Amino acid sequence: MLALQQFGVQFQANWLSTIRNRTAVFFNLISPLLFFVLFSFIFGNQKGATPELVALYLLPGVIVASQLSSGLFGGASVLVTWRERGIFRRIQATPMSVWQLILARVLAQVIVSFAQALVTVIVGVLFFKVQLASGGVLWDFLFILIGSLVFQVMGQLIAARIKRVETANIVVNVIFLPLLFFTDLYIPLSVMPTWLQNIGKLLPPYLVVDLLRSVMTDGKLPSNALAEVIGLGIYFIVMLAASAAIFRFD
Amino acid sequence: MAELQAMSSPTMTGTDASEQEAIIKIEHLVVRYKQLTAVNDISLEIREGECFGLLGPNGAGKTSTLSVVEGIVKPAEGCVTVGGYDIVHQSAAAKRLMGVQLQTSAYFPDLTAVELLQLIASFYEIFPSRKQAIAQLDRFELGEKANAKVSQLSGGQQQRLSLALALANDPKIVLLDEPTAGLDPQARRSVWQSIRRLKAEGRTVILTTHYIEEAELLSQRVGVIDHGQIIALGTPQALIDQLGESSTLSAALDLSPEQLAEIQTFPGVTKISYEDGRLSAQTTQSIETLIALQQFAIRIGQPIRDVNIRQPNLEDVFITLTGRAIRD
Repeated sequence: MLALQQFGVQFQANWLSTIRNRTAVFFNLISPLLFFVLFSFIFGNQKGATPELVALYLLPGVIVASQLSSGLFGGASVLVTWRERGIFRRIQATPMSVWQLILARVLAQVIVSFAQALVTVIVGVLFFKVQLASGGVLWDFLFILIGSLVFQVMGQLIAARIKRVETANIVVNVIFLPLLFFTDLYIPLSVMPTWLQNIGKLLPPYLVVDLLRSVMTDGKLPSNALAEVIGLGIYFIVMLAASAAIFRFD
Repeated sequence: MAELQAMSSPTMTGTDASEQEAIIKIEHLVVRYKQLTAVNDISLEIREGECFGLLGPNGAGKTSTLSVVEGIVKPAEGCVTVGGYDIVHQSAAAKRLMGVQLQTSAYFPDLTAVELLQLIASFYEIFPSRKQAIAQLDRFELGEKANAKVSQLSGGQQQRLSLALALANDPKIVLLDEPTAGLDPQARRSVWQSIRRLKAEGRTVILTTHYIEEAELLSQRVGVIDHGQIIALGTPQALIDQLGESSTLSAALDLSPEQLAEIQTFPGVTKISYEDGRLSAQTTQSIETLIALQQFAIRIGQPIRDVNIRQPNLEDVFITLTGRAIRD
């Protein structure tokens, strides 16, 4: 009971830190929505397309992009900031494990992911009359949860040894931008060269968006759903183990 | 000098030192950071209820020693126990007894003072209500700033917040690393007031500092540390008394090397230094030395400016032991 109460206080502190950080709110929520609206209008007015069709295609990509941003910027940059400020060192002087606080932060970010997804769906439905396939809501929740956890752990791995926030932001951008544009989130992978398609399909954002897009638009799982979920599971376990092994608190 | 180094004269007001149990024991502590040995075989006992000061220049090993006691850094050699618990093997139990203020303030920037206190308390499985947390902040004159973020507090308020957070778990032992570094004199005195209150409450306080005045005013015992070793240990007065009746007479006047050599022979003078036009003479007969200096100044036709006679302090202890000032 005490442990639960302790976790609750720490979750609340992380939640407040997250929603009060205006920069994080902009990059994690508003920025992806801007992309969503902008791309839907731009590409939706091309020949053979409509804003509704484009929005339906983009919506899962925007949700995954928000999660990715949250995991890398909200995860990696924040953890490095904590290290730089000496927050980990402060916690090491207490009986509590630092990992418990990190876990509380991950949970807060997962909740934020669900909130982001909900806002994105509402925008899609209200502005672009997006019609999502029914019957897949539970799968939607599951894949959003899996994606959020994988990207949070990715952020943790990036943050494991970096000492300065400036360095973390550079590394995060170098990783984030290719993942954003070459994994079928905003731009169809089919228009990329074959070699890039082959690489893109192996990366976590593609695995998540493929699962989510299939359920949201067609109402069914993709044929290789199990392989994609296992792939995400492997990414999660390997990145979690690696970050735990090399993570420095000072 | 050997006598000074061997000095250990514990004094507790109105109590017999032998009655005070050691609450922290540091035995043959060695701390290394790669090739650097920051702490080189320190042994100390800190008694329950005392305020112990670790005094030394920057880089002496104060923070490294404290970091081991706090459980943040692992020792390369040696053993540290807090309240009977080994800090390495029984760290959680040891840490529950301690409250810590680190040298650099480590806060979550988007949380308010009251939220920070509740968060830190939760690390010790203590869950004060908002009202209780504000009452705790009030003790450090921060009640009105309960809803302020750290960036909205002045330097002195931030240090008082650090103290309040160090007491979030109502600890028996409070460890303060340079608690007044960077503060203006008024803010410094405010923090000293808070530390005196901790002592009055019967808590054991360990503070590191490079401010002589702070060590002398607050500490019942002082450990003088340099290059990772304790070079003197005892009450401030006992350490100073070992210097004898030596005072420091200083004055501004222009002197040649020959004139300096003559001053060295004045009554009571044991040691002189001359820097930037200022003479400093350690003397066991301050009045006789002053008279001799006045007569000398008349003879050479120079006025003496800015004369000062200072009683010895811990910096003089440090200079005697190391040959240099704490701030060199």
